[in-house]
Formats: sequence, C-alpha cells, structure tokens
Amino acid sequence: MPVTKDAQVVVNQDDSADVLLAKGGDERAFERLYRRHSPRVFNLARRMLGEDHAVDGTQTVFIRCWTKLETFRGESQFSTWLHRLAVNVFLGERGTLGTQRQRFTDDDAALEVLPGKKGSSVEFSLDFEAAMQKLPTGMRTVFVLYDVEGFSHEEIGQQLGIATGSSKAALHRARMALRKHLER
Amino acid sequence: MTTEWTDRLSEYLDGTLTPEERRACESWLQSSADGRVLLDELRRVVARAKTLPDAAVPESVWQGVAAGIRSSVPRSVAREAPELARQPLPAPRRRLLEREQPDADGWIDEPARLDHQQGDERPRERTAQPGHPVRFHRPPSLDSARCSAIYPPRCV
Repeated sequence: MPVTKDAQVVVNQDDSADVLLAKGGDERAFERLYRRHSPRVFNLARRMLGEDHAVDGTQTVFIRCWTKLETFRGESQFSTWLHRLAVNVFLGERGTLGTQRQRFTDDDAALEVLPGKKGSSVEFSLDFEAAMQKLPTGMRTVFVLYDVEGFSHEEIGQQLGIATGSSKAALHRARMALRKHLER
Repeated sequence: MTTEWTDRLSEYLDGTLTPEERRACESWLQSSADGRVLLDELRRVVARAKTLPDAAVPESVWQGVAAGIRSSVPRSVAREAPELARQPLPAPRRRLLEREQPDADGWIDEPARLDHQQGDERPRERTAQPGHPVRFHRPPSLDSARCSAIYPPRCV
C-alpha cells in the first residue's frame, strides 16, 4: 500500500543515540537507523535508478553508510547526511549500471519517448511515475532532484557537473514532457 | 505556440527570473491564453511531483545490508587503522585467482587479485572452508605483521 511522503518525514531524536551506538559497531542500532530512513532512500533509488536497481542501490547506500559513519560529525542531521550520501551513490551507480550521463538539454526527441494520446489535451492514462521513468536519464535526474527532493539548481549543477543553466533547461524539458501525463 | 517565454515558464514558476524578466513574462501571459494554460499544466506537474506515493521497502533489502556490513571492515580496524577505513568499498562479488597462495601468516598479496579496486588498501577477509584458516588479503602498503596486528587471523 502506498505511503504518502508526508507520513515518512523523519524527525527522530533517537537518531543521535543510535548513530553513536552504530559508530561503536552496534548493528541493532544501525538497523533502527535503517528502519527509520530506508523508505526515503529506497524511493529515491526507485526514481533515480529505476525499479530494477532500487534494491541494490539502497543496499549500497546503507553499507556505505555503515563504513562511513565514522566521518559523520553530527554537524547536520543524520537524515540530511544520509540523503546526500544516497544521491552521491546513485549518481555513481548510474555509471556502474551503464546509464551514464545522458542529454540534459535535449531536443524534441526527448519528448517523443513519452507518447501522449493523440487528439486529447493533457490528461492521459499513462501513469505519471511510469512516464518519469521513460525520461532520458539526465532529465529524470534533474526533475527528481529539483521537484521531488528539493535541491537547488546550484546544488544539482555541482553534483552532476553541469552548468546551472543546463539544469534549468533540463528541468523545463522534463516538466514539458510530463505535463502530457497528468491525471484528470 | 513557442516564444522565449514558453521556454522560461519553469523559471517564472520557480521564481528564478529577475524582476524585469518577471514583469515581461507576466505581460506576455496576460496576452496569451495558451501561455496561461501551459503555466497551469506546469504548476500541476510540480504539485504532482510533491505528492508522489512511496512504495514499501522489501524486507530483503535489510538482509542484504546486514550481510554487507558483516563482511565489511570491522570496527576494530576502523579504530586502529583509520587510514584503512577511509578507503572506498571494494566492488562486490570479487573473484579470486585460483593461483593465489597465502603467505605463512595467511595473507594474500592484493596485486594478485584479478579485480582489485585501485585505492582499496584494507585487509579483507576471504571465505574459507570449515576447519581451515580464514585467509586475508594484504594491501601492498602493509606488511604481514601489521595486518595481523589489526586483523588477527582466526579459524572458522
């Protein structure tokens, strides 16, 4: 059963205690951290890597988290630190998975991968998330990071190694493509 | 309908236009019914993105994580040799050369591995047969004694 994003917002004071315990090698504390934060990481993986690679991607993030936990100084919230780690892992995973950086500012060919129903306006049957998955990787990444995850264009530009203007253009192209798949 | 402003409606929506550009865009919107329709569609896309339903995490994910952290560098290594703990994770499912032979302390030279990940200089545990010593991979930068000090060989 789908869970709304609002229900998964994690603001948990137990994080700091469990982080300390996990740093000391306490696997149960680490599992508690995992239980609290895995929904957001897993769904980010679904959207950035696709359904087929979400499990592997999520596992990689938490194994990396375990090994890098020593470097977490508590200067930001654990959830923020973990989320950044997840994005970096997924951006790296795209290369591993053979989905290297693609066009960020594509031409109309990018929109053709999202066919709409001819003769209608903007309400079509194709599921919105399925349409997202059909976007070229670069466009999808920018759309997910900006509109779903709330990163700024400057942050996206730094993480993807592209100009801020390219990020803006990719976002607009993605929105233009996805508007054809809004539900009524 | 393609104008400069149709390509910049997302920037208008996100509030990233300059005040002057914003005024010009609003002026265009007042005169363009198509532009207003497009703006509304883009607004709905953004709103939809904020309310995407999430899927439940399969239980198998944790099982993989648990197996992964148990085979990662032990905390004792991280404490006693933090320079090793900072190394990146090795690629999963590494294969070992059949010709690998451990030295007298049970260590195997890293360069002998087929798919050694460059820069990974942590000693790694190798699965051993029951009753045999666990084998370890010795990174080039450490001698056997140092490896044994931070990661004592043991039997399974």
